[in-house]
Amino acid sequence: MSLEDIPTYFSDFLDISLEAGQAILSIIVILSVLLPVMILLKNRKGIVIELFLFVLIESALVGIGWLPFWLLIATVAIMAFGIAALGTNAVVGG
Amino acid sequence: MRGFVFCLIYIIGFATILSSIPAGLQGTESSIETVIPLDPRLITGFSETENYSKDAFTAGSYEYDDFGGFDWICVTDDSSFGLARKIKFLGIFWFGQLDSCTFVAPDGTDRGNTLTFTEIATDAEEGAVRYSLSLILSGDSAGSFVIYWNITAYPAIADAWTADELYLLHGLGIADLATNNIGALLISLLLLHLPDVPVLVNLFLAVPIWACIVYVLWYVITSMIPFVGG
Repeated sequence: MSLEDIPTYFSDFLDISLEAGQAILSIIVILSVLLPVMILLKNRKGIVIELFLFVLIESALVGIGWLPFWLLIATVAIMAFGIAALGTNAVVGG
Repeated sequence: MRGFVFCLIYIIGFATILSSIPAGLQGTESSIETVIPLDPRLITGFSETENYSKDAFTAGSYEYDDFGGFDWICVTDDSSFGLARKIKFLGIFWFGQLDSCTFVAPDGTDRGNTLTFTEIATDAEEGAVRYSLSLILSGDSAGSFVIYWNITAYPAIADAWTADELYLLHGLGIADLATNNIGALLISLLLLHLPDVPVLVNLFLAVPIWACIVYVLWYVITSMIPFVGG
């Protein structure tokens, strides 16, 4: 059984759709990494590390086929939105 | 001004981050045309591939030229395969000399320079097997040789071969871990043709980018042509 097959077994076990199984497993994986980091890094700067880790884990999950590629594009769009908001404040002021 | 800066940074930021995503994360190539359920990792990742099946063979041999800079010949007696690289005199004239390939199975077993159907059936898992090739005389790597067929329709490999449903793939090199073709990806995103993405999701992703593009264009036009802006 490879990593790619885990959602199939998981969704069969819970008798749910494959997509739902992939989503649930992905959330579990993401939270299992992000929550301990969140507890360890209580200061404000932790958010940058959290975001970096989130993108990294999401990329890995897309790579092994648990998450669809468009979700990564959506994340990129949100990141670009954030960068644009911060960049605008830096350039124009506000 | 604020909106213009925001839109400009958004478009540039989006395109830059998108272009940094490795191509591999897009998943399996949607362009692979095979009706056989097959692990795509077996047949992808090569910089060059040559696909053929029984119909390509004439009098027990199939020759393909200029593959990885060399000419190749695959021979069969309808129960085994042999693959060799042509050795050319001065790189032009071929007098029949061949540098044969040895087939090394995924478990490391050296199958020699003749690969029988029985060996293929033994090595294959769910109707697919990828052999590593090495040239006997030069000792160079000759890439990989993938053999696959629909094991549900043809439990016996000989039947698949007879029906021209046994597929052979000679792959060379390793595909560059290039980043995405940002132009193609952005255009497909904007034209709602992003592969394997529901149109509604594509629309949600495309609308903010279109809005930014239109706003930037509108701002540039109104700023540069005073009488338009009033």
